[in-house]
Amino acid sequence: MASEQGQTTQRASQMIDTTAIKQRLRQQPGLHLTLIGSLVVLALPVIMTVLMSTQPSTQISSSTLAGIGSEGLSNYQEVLFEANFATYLVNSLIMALAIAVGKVGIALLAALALVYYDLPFKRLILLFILFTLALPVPVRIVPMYEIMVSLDWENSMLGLVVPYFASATSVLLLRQHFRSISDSMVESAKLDGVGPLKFLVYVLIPMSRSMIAGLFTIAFIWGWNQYLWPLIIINDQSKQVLQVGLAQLNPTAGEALWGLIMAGAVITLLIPMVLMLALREPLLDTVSMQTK
Amino acid sequence: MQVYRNRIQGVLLLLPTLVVSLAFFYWPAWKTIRLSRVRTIGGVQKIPNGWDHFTALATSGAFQYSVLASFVFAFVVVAGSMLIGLYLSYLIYRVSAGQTIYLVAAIFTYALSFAVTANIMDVLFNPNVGLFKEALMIATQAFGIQFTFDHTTNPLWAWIFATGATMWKMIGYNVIFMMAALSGIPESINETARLDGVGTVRLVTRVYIPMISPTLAFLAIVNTVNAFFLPFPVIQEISGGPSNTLNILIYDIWMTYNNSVIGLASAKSLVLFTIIGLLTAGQLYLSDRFAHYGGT
Repeated sequence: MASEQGQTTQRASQMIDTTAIKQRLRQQPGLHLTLIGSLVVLALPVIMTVLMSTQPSTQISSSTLAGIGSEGLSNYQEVLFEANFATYLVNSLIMALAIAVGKVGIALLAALALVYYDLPFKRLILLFILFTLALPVPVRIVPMYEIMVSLDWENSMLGLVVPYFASATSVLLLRQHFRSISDSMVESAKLDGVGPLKFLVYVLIPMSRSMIAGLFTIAFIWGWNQYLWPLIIINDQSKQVLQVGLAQLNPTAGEALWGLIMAGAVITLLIPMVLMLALREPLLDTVSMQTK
Repeated sequence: MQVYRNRIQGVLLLLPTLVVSLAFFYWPAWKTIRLSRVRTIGGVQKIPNGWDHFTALATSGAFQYSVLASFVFAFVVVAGSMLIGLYLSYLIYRVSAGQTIYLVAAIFTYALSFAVTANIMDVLFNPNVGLFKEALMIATQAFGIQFTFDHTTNPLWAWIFATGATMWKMIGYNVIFMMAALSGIPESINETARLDGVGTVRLVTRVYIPMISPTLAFLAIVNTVNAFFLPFPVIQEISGGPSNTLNILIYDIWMTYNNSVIGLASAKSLVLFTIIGLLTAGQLYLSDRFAHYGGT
């Protein structure tokens, strides 16, 4: 009985909610139309990609494109198992996870040191870390391959991920966040004589959950989307990642298998897209922290 | 608040970040400087070459074009993606129902890679079978305009194609920041503006844009830095454009590197580094300045 009553009131409040929403929707009809129109245009390339990925590969011509085709399943099967995308998918997943965990983990340690330790030249150390932002892969492209060879890291997961472990953005944001944690919190930890790693695990990390989730998402998407670096150091197809595999699917000459390429593109974009949707809130909070 | 006094412990915690920065950022950057002053024979033997690469680059018309093209490319994509981003953000900011859904639909390009962007745009605008290319042809022919929508032969269309694809990909990132900044505007300001009967254009140009100007300044710099190297897959997809008209710096470096002209590629990398370094320094300076005002 009680639960039934509860359900009724819940339903009633939902009804009130939907009517309120309908009312608000009716208030700005022009604005909603403009927004929907603009966002459909923005999403059109992706919508078309999904549709084309279901089309028979060799028959595609502009007239048959605008609809769901008959080859959806077979295109995906073919690209996954014959064009090696299943392997690339696993490699991309391992790479992005390792980069995200490595970046955030190492940044947590660095931020802990920068905020809670009495160290000399802190500002200089911070600048040293921050200036790595001005050194993206293209600036280091020539010697990086040689360094990988001398470490025997070419064609390896280590070579793919370790150079990405330094994260100026994560260190900066975590440092900022730690500094905003109230002194009383820190004081009690100090009085209890808690060691630094315990302090990190039991106090700082629980208090930074949202930011860690956001930084993880940013780093995962960033890692997943890397193209130039895997292109340089991986030439063994069993070690290759999706982004490069996708580009290789696109032949410069000969008949292109459009349906297959689009199925490959969908596989390549799916996971970061889902992750972004799932962790939307911490991601948005963390990204926008950068200007503060 | 400083809790721990053991300096060795502190340094140990910093060590992973410092070692990775040193080994994979500063050391290769230093080696790039050294390599820019050598010439290679047969891809192996290195001979001192002084400043010759730089003097050659300074007088090379092709390289000057490459640098100029990089700046024009960056300017077009940054201005375009910021304007579209501002337009979408303003609409989403004003809407009172369904804001979250609209926001998600506006920022999805953030999760896409440039490699995926390059690939799907190349198929959709493909000169032979591209659906969007067909649509554009039909639309322009209806107005009696003859235009070749082929990015493999028409340099102008190649530019529009590459900057357009890059712009599209960059919109999501801009909307994230702009929405965050707009939501920070106090409701009382909207109220006052409404009571004073301020028009939309005035409201945007005189109130909103000045109020979110720190974010816009940040975005202008970060987007520009990104525009210098992230669109590489887009340029590679069209092989530098018809007769190399889209040979922007990052693609030029890649081609030189790929041809094993190590010394020259390093010199070109340093030119790119100088540009990105100055922009990054500007960004750090800006964020430092604004941090003293309203930052948390």
